[in-house]
Amino acid sequence: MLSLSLLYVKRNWLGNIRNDILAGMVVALALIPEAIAFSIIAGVDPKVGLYASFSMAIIIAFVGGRSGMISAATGAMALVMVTLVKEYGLEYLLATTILTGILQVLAGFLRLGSLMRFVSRSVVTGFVNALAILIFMAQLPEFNGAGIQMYGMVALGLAIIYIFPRFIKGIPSPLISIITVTAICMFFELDLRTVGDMGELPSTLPIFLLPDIPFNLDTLRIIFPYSLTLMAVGLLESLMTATIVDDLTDTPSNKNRECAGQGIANIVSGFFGGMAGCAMIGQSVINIKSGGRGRLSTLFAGLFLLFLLLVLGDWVRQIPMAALVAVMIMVSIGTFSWSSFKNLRTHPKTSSLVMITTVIVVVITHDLAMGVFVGVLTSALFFARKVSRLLKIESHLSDNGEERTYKVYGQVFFASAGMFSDSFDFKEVVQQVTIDVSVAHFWDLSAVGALDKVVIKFRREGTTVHLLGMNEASATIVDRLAVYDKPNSLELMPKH
Amino acid sequence: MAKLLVCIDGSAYADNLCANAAWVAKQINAEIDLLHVLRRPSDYQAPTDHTGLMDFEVRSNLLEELTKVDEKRGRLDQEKGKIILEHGEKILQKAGVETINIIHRRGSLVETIQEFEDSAEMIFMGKRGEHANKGSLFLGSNLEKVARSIHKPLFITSSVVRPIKRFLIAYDGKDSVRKAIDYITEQPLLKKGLECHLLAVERAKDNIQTSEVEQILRQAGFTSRIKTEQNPHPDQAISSYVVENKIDLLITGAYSHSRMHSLLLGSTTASLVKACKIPLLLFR
Repeated sequence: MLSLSLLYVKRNWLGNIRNDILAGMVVALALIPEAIAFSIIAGVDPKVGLYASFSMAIIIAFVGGRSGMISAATGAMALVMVTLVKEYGLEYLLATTILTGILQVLAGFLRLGSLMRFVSRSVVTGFVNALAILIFMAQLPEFNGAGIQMYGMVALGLAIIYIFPRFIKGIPSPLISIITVTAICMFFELDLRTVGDMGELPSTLPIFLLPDIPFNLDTLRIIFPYSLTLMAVGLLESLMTATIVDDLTDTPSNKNRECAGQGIANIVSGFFGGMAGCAMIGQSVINIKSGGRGRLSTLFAGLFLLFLLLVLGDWVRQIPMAALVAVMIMVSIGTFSWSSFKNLRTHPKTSSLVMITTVIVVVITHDLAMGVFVGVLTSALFFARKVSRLLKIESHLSDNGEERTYKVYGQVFFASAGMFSDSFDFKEVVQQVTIDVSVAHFWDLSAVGALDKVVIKFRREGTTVHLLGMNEASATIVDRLAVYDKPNSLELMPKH
Repeated sequence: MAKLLVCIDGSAYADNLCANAAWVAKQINAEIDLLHVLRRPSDYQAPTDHTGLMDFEVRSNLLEELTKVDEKRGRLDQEKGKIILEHGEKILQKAGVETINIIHRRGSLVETIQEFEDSAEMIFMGKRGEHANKGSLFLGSNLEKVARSIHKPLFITSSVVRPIKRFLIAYDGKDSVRKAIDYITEQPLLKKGLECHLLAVERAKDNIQTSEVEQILRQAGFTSRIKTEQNPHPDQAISSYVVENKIDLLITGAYSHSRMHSLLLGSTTASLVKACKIPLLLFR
């Protein structure tokens, strides 16, 4: 047992020390602008997003199910909590964050992580695109009433972000952009809003606090719906990110442990004054690309972020909003799956429709979870429709013209039951009909009901009906209920 | 090879129908599709109706019972249909028809005929079905529906059958009767030495030109007797002409008015079918 846990520690923590620490530092730098910007999207002080970012990063390093993945305050979560913060304030947000965490821990124990496989690739693409659109739309109010200086600084910020990586590889270009834009603003004393104008920055270590709200049913009624959405969105983005990191590193992850881990991280974040967060696609990719693999990289990202804020707080205050808007526009451009436009032509129409439906629902409702729900539902319906086409019925008449044999191939279930019934010719007068279903599958009660109706219809017309192979065809329905055809049926019998 | 669609049931017209069809088949060298259509179980009235009084158990028992009733009746219908078809086949064979296709179907008569109409040259029906009262002055309800829905010539058999030597065209100058004349002049059906009559009945203000038709018939080799008459009731004029001249087959265009129109005014064609005791060939 000891050697086993030593092996675990070695593999997950100490296998890649130098690269993990370097990558962690890069990620911490990249986290600052986004944590501040997402706090502003949510409508809370920048310190709420920053507290969330380092407490989540530190906790998830220990309890997460995917090593090397970065979790912090995210845009997807910030977008969900906008109205909650506007109507009820920060304390309710903290309580919601804790409840979200509890729900996510539950989801982890209920193994809901495995449900991720029902979310098709089209839904994931739609989710990502909708997220990008929402993040971009959230930046537009910053331009309200802004002068030429604002537009100029944003353009400059974007230019630096996209041009600098060609020359300087080691430092994240958004950071260079922020430093440059801030320096220019301070030097020319431009009259632009700064992060300091948006609210308080952390000056101390976070303190453990219970949210200051009445603990009653009314409170629960307010925060529960938000928690539910946050839980779904948080898990969805975390598991999607985990899949991406799995692909990038070619290593497996424990999805259910990640669910519970996200929950624990959110609970801790809530008690230490942070907003709810989840895994970040962008930062995780930066981490992996910078060489981070182990849990140490995630831990170090959190610790270094804390150090930076405590030391550099005064400088962070001076960052103009224009620089953050530029970073957010970059995030939204980078998040959007541009290839999905090209794929519209080549992908199956139903997949594109699922993707577009997901995007439209999210953009209209501003609710990522609702979009995913509708997306999953539509893709399930399309799938059912596709499978329902896997039904073929052949028939031939006997030589004397008195007996017709129908042979059923394929899947009969609720979506194809109507087609099944329509395939029989009730207008033809024959004395005997044989329906051979031995190579067909009857999946549900609708299918059996349809067959029943066909048989009764023939019988009412005075036609004798023979059914062949009903046991094989309906094995899919009765295998859970029936005992007689199982190999150990004799041992099972006495229990009844 | 041309096909004739002959719709028979257990009525008294079935034999005449087969005799007429056999004659036409020989005239134009056609094969015959002999069709019998069974009623659907749902066309029968349920023996009892307890809707609303039943719980689930009773309902499924009753469904089983009703199914058994239908099953028995369905078998009887099938047997009867087979007998009718075999009987018709025998008559046709005796009359010398070489190719007979038996078609036994279930459903509404109109829909079934529409289904087979496209491949048929001409459709044969009796004036009334087996369930209609023979003495009644009214037509079979099926005949009326079929006549309105099909697009092929419809041969309607009456209760008398005799060799066809003289035929009469009831002429009103409308499109459907022109089609009839096209058919007669182009197809071999009535060309073998039959006597051709043409009667135009003018109501109050009509003015029917017959000279053109006369020429067309003459060119086609018919020696026809043309007559124009003034009478406010064309059906009466035509039926008395039929009796006086011992006409064996009446040819006319059918239902040139819209359905609503004929409902309000009374259709000449329908009353012709009723009034004349001889077979009719209707063109749409």
